[in-house]
Order: sequence, then structure tokens, then C-alpha cells
Amino acid sequence: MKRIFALALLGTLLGVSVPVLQGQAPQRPTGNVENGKKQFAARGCVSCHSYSGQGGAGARLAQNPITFQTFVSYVRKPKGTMPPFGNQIPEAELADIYAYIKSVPPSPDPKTIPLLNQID
Amino acid sequence: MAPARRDHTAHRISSAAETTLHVGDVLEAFLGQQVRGKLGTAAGLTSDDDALAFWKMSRHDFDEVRIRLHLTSRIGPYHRNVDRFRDVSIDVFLFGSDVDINRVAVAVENLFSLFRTNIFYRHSRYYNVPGVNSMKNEEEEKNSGQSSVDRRKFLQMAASTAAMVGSSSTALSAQQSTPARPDVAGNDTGALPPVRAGSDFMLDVIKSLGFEYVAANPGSSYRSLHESTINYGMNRNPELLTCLHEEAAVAIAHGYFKIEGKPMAVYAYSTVGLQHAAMAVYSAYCDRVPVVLFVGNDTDAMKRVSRTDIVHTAQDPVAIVRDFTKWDDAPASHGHFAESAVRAYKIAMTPPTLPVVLSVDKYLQELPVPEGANLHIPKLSPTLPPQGDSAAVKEIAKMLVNAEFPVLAVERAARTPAGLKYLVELAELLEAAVVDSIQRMNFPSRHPLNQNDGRGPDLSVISEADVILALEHPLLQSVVYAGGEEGSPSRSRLKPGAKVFSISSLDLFTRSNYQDFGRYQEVDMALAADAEATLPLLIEEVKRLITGDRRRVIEARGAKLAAAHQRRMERTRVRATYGWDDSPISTARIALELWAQIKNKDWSLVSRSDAMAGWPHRFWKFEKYYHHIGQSGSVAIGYSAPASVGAALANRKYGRLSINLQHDGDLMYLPGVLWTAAHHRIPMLTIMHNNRAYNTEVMQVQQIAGQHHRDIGRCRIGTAIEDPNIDYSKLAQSMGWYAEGPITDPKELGPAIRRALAVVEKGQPALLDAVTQPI
Repeated sequence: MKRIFALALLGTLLGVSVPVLQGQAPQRPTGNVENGKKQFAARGCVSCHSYSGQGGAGARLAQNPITFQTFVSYVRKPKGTMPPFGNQIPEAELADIYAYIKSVPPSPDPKTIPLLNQID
Repeated sequence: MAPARRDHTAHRISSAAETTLHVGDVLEAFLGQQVRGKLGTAAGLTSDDDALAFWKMSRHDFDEVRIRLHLTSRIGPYHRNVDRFRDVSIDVFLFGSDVDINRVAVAVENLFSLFRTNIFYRHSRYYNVPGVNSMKNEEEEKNSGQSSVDRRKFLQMAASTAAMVGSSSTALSAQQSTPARPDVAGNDTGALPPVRAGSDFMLDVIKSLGFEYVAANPGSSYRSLHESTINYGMNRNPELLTCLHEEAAVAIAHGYFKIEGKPMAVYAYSTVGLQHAAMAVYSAYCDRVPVVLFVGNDTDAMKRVSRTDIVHTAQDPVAIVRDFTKWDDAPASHGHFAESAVRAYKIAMTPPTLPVVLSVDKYLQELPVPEGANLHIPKLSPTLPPQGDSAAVKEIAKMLVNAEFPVLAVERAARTPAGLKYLVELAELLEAAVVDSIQRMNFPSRHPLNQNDGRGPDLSVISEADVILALEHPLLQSVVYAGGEEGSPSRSRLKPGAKVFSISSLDLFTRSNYQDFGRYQEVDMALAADAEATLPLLIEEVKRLITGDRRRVIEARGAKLAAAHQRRMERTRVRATYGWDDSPISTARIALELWAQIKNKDWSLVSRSDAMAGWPHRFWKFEKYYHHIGQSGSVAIGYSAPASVGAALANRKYGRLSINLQHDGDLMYLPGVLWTAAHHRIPMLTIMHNNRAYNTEVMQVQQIAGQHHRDIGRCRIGTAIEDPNIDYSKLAQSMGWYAEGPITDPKELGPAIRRALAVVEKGQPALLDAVTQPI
């Protein structure tokens, strides 16, 4: 797992395409993490999911085991209050976004955060 | 009667005499009026007088203008008896001891005049301001004067006349009413004695009601009240708060009430001022907050001179807010003002507490109070809030005690700290789940029975409930029903057989137009009563009914709810870690960085209680009534910044640390409140939730774009607050605040908070511009 995120993080830093290794889909695309990050903001995803996909009004996408195909299907035709994107976002761009949210490192353990440990 | 318009000298001298209306008291003003009448008709001023008078006037030497007084031999409607025919300066004439007034003759003439129709006309006329009455023709003045008199004025005139009979001209000053400021009272040094203005009396009334502050943006229609407040009242109780917008003034009053528990007064400028104020009045109305507004108005069309006077006047200025105020009036006399102001206060403070408005005529404010006028300030007799019917309360208590899973749904149950105490006592007696919409500090945030995790109450408990008691909850229907958005069918969350009871003072007062009363909710019993006033009775009855068997059931329920609360808390801890080190900074991180530094202080959250995405409510221990001030009521942007200033002002005298978690979009509605806070030395720490957008609206437009199968990515057009990014630290610094930012690195936040708190503890306001995640 650590290796996967190290690769994703490296891709983010270098701005290059890396294979999406997590959430294995039948036809696993490659995605450009840097472009995915840009598109995640430009397409308005951040309003509900936050800049790193940590959730807010919308679901948490980071650390979400969703497969690429499920991800694509949901974006095109979601349930609930999320707006349906239909074919507004090309699949290649969705692959970039998917790569980005998969590249987000896991959150720290609550026990390692002193401010949280002060809460009784 | 004013001088004829063509008689310029008489006009100038008339004006000079008229100044006495603004610096003297009733008797002097009365005498001055006689001089005016004299000069205007029988003084016989000739064109030879013009040059000298003009020269003197141009030097503003009004008191050196020589007037020629002609003795008349008969008393007539336009003549006065003065027994001297010599040059005399006006000030010497009016106040000097070397002028020998034929007091008896003047008094006799006045007594005669009492029985003449035109005495009323003269009496009302002498309240006019210079230059205004001269534009009226005589007939108009007669008509308006005749129509405006009443028996009170007749008696006031008689009192003035009687006083005059027994006084010498030297003694006139000594007979004035006690001046508000002895240091500026009339004396032998030539200082002009103060006028007892109508607005002075009005201020006495306002003072009697215990207002600490009056928030206002200045305006000519209440200039007299303004001047009385700062000079007659010496700007203390109430102290004038300089506001840069009327909406800010009312919202400051709104926030102040939430802490202090008593209303702030607001002065507003006639039509346009009240129009500006209207939004904040609506918020106060929806939030059941009393604000007492005094709105100036130029009631008499004949006195409107300038374009401003005309355009800024309405026949019924309060009409614009009548749908969302509880009561208003337009008093026609000083006595009427006193009654209405006290009544307004009483009505505003009777649950449901709501805003009230008095439209106060500009000239009634400026009208001097006649010497000896029998004005009375009524005693304020507060109305006790109504307690629920005792038989009905017993029935509700019985249902609650026997319930398997009772739920208390509360919106504004706690009007005061006592309400908070009662609600905790009732919930703990029953071990009942509390669904709190945090519109007031109803219930401790970290209490195991609290079902609100900061983003709103967990309504799943409604489905488990067999008895629900709603307390001051106008939106109960939205608690009971799920769905229903955008035409989809709503469904009741209630399980079959569940009983719903309501105790609400809102059942005693409902307006039609604005729909804040909510959707209609079927209930099994509704008590039109004040919840807080009813809770003691309900608690006693519950205590009486709890038996040993029921106690065991209740305790088991409490243990179950406490365990659920603990599980929820653990999930919340994990959620707080999401994006912990992200930039922009997570709202959870901000809440926790701040909590670590304030938790051992006497703090008060003075912004919306769901600020920073509700994270403070999840972690901070809101336990005391002043720990948060609830919501806006109207869910309107623009409330939070001014309300926080008002609440921080109220906290100041208790030495509390006021924390404002400030949305960027909200601040930009009324950024001028930053200046008001700095100007009035109101200490508070503001941390920006700067997500550079109206983010809720971004999501709303995205949703609609999705429905319309159009480009969702364009929805920041018209909703984002970027390009350029607003530098809130510079904005705050420009208005006298200590400020830092923009802060984008979460690691910088803790030290910045420490520095800002040090400034606040010295009595200054401080702002940190934190660039945040959208939510």
C-alpha cells in the first residue's frame, strides 16, 4: 500500500502519468495526477468533496476503494443530490481525476494528533 | 406669524430671534416669538435698517443686530406690548437684566389670546424652524396650526403665561427646567441656556428603559434625538454606536441581545434608513429577537424643504417592515411618545420576543417641551410569559414518563440561561434524546443526550420516538418529515402511534405574509405558551410521576444513548483527521487549533453556531448560555459579522473572550462593522473561513446545471469570490484591526492564534485570514 501511494505521490510531484494501481478495474486506465488535480478543481468537484477529496457536503473520495468503472458510472449518473455529469467529462479526464484522488495520502492516525488527544 | 417674505431684514432679525428656540427654554422662546411677531408686522422696520442688519448678519453677529421696537398702543393679534422704544441687542433684550419688560401687559395679552383662535396658530408656529415657516402662506399656517392644537397645548400655553406673570426678565433663566449639563447652563457670562427639546424628553424615556447602547447610522430625520443622546444624555446609557449601515446597526443589536438578554435601541433614518435596515429586521424577527427601532420621519409636508426631505419621507415609513415586526406606532406628541416607547419595549420583550418600531416625527423631536408641561414617563410593567395549561402539562408529563423513547425537539427553547438549565434537567430526568437545531444555546453540545453533531441534528432518533415534545419549534414539520424537496413526496419519520406535543409562544402571534412560521405540522396537543416558563411545571410533574420501575427503564435508555454518543464522537475524531495537513486549511483543523488555546478561558462564540462547518460544535464544550449565540433566524448572509460585533460588545463588560468564525461572503456584505468594532474598542478574535466563494450557491447551481444537462464546471461564474482574491488582513488593518494573513499553511495557524489572542486580551480586535477548504 505504501508503495502504491509513494508511486502516486511521485507522479503528483513529477506531473507525469502513472498507472492507477488501486481499485483494479477490468481496463485500468492510466491517469495524470497533476491534470487530475487541476480538473478536480476546474470541474467544481471541490465544492462538495474538498480540494483533496476528503469530503464535505459530498462523500469522501480519498481512501475510497471505489473502482474506476464504478467511479465513472457514478460521475455520469449519480444518485442523491450530486449533479449528473453525463458525458461532460471525457473518460481520459476522469482517469486523471481518479488518479489524483487515489494519489491522496492517507490521513494521520487520530492518536498521533495532539490537538485531538486533548479532546476528552 | 412670520415676516412677509419680501421683508428681508425682518427675516434676518426674525432668524436671530428664532435662534433662541434652540438655546433657550420655553419662556425665552415664547418671548422670542413675540419679538418675531412684532418685527414681522408692526416693528416698522424700514429699508434704512437693511444695510446695517445685512452687515451684521454677514459677520454672524446676530446678537448685535439692533432692532427697533415700536410701542403699540393696543393689543391685537399681530402686536405685542413692549414698553421700550430704543435700540437694544437681541440677547440683552431677551435675557439681559437691563431690559424692562412690561410683564403684566404681555401676560394680559397672552391671556386674552388664549381665547382667540389664532393663539393656537401662534403657539404651534413657535416651534417652527427658521426659514421653513416663512415659506408658508398665512392661511396655510393658520390651518395647520388650528388643526394641530389640542387641549394639552392650550394648557401648556396657559402655564407659560402664568409663569411669565410672576417673573422678571432676569429670573427667566432661573426658571428654566433643570439643564442636562449644568456646565453649559445659562449664566451671566453670556452662555446661552439649553433648550429643553422634545428629543431630550424622548431620551429620558429611552433612558428609563435601560438601554445601554443605541446603534445608528446618522440621518437628519432623527438629528434631534442624535444630538440629545450625545449632549443632553452625555452619550451614556445609551451610548451611540457609530454604524456604517443601518443593516449593520440592527444586526449589531441582534447579536447584542443574544448575549445580554435585553434589547438595544436603533435609530434609523426615515425611509431609506429603514429600507437599509429591513433585512436585519427580518433576521431579528425570524430569530425572535427584540430590537427597538426609532425611525425619524418628516411627517408634515409643509416642513419639507429639500429634495432629501421630500424623497426620504413616507406617509407610513414602517409599512416596509410591518410584516415582520410585532408592533409599531407614530406618536403625535411627547406624551404619546412616552406611552408608545414604553409599550413598544413591553411588547418586544413579551414572548415571542420580536422587533418593534416607532416612527418619530422630526419636528416632534425638535419641538421644545413647554415649561411646566405635565409629561409623564410610564412605568414599565413587564408581562410575565404565559405558562402552559397545568392539566395539559400534566398530561404531557405522563406521556413522557411512560414513553419508551421520548425525544425533545428544540429550536429556541432557552430564552435565557434558566431555559438551558431547565432543559438539561428535564432531559436528564427522562434520559430523553435532544434534537437541537442550535438556534439558541439550548443544550450542552457534548452532552450524551445531544443528537446534534454540529452539522445538524441526527433525525434518525425521530423514527425511534414514541413521544416527541417540541419546544418553541416553528419548523417541526421539517423534523418530522423527510424528503419533499423539489416536488418529491415527503414521508413522515414518525412510527405508527407516536405522539407529538408542542409548547410554543409562536402560537400566540403569527403574521401572514412571510412564511417563517413553517409548514403546518399535525400534533396531538399544542400549548400556546412560553416553553421556558412552562418547563418548571413540567419538570415538577415528571419528577412526581417517575417511579422505581420507570427509573430503571429511563436509566437503561440513558446508557444506550450515552454509548451511541461515544461512538459518534469516535467517528468524529477520525473525520477530523481528513485533510489535516492540507492547504487550504481544513475547517476541523481551525476549530481544534483554536480550541486548544481558548478552552481554559472564559470564551463565547459570537458568530453563527454552525460556523466552520459545525466543527466547533462537535469538539468544543458549549455549556454556558453565552457560549454560543445561535443562528441568524433568516439564514441570510450578512448577519454574522455585525451580530458578532454586537455580541462581542455585550461580552466586553464581562471580560469574556469573543470568538468570531467569519465566512468571507458574509463579511463582505457589511465590512464596515470592522471599523465600528475598532472605533468602539470592542475586543474580539475573528478567524476567516475564507473559501473564496459562496460555496453553498456553487453547489446549488451545479445541481441545477446537472438537472439541465449543462456544463457543471462553469458554476463558479457568479459564485466565486476570487480574481482578485480579497486580502482580509489588509481590509481589517485599514479599519484599525490587528490582522495577519492570508494563512494557507496549517502549521502557521497555531502561532498566529497565539499572537492574535495576546492582542485581543489587551482590548483590541484581531483578525486572522485563514484560507480554508470549501466546507
